[in-house]
Amino acid sequence: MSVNDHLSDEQIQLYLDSTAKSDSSEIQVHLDSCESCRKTYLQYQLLTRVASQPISINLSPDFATCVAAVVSSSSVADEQETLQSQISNWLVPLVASLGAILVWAYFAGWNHFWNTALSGFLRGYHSVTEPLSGLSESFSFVGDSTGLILAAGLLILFFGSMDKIIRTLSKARHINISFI
Amino acid sequence: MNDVDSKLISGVLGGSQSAFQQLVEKHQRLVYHIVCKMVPEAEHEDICQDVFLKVYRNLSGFQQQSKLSTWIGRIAYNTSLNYLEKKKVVLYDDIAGDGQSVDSVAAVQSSPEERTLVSDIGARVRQEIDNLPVKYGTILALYHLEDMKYDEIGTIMQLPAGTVKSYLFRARKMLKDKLLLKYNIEDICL
Ligand SMILES: [Zn+2]
Repeated sequence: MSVNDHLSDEQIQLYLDSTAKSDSSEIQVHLDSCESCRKTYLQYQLLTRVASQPISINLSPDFATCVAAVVSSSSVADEQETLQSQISNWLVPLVASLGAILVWAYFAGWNHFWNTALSGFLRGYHSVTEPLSGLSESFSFVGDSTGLILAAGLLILFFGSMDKIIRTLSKARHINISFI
Repeated sequence: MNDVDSKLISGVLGGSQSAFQQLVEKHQRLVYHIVCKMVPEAEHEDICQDVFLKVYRNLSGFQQQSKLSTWIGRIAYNTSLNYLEKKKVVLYDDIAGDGQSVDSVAAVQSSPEERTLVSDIGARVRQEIDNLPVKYGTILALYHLEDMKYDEIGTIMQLPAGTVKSYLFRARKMLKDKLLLKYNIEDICL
């Protein structure tokens, strides 16, 4: 590079940015001897110096505290929402099932309810537990009440799933309607 | 990624409010440097808050191979971009910035009154930096204020490192040319 070939802006900026200035001795020699390039170099140096000066961070002094508070309050709200949706998911079918059982029992008569429905379940239960006859006989009382609980559980499950089935059906109906 | 960031992340994911507060304190400067270059002053605090809420919500999906600072920086950059796009602000006036003719720059030459107003040389340069196109201003801030490398800036702004370098050089040349046109050379290279 001859003294007459001036440095490009890129060369000057690279030189300014480079930490190992000794590697660029050729550029340094040119800068020492060329007034015009030295002027450009000094201009870039000034720009770089100003651009590197810290600027004031105009955020509230308690910015971090506030953001952390917002985040924690919103996560509490999220948890509450999840709990609410879980309750509403289970509570509605549960109450509906119990209501249905009671209504049925009321109209059918409690004795009939007991004799037909629950004894049916109990018979079913006994047919399952019959092979374990020894155990079944010695725990016959426990067997009956367990059968009762099992029957009630199965009924709740049945009516509970009815709710889901109805929802699925109604969704499917919406799809059909949209097709039409 | 450094140990401090790892500890902060596990603290936040474990539900610690103070860990999140520390995370915000550690990175708010970087977020501010990006947001203040892209968004009007009145919105700075809201957008910064928005950025950290996004950081909180997405932290569990953060890939810990990369630096937390560049990940947060990227969220800050994208959030500011979304804001500008919503406001329909013309962002990438690459052409306006880079190819701006000498005439158009000369047209905004300051009057003698303005020259006396902006008497301090640093203030003049600062004013011109603030007037740079969004992209150039952001690169300048990340390079000079955050001491970031080209590839880190590239990760934040979704640009190749080479492009970041050429934009940085272009921004500084644009700045120098504008200042030379507006003010006396002797003033600038004091
Ligand atoms: Zn020269």
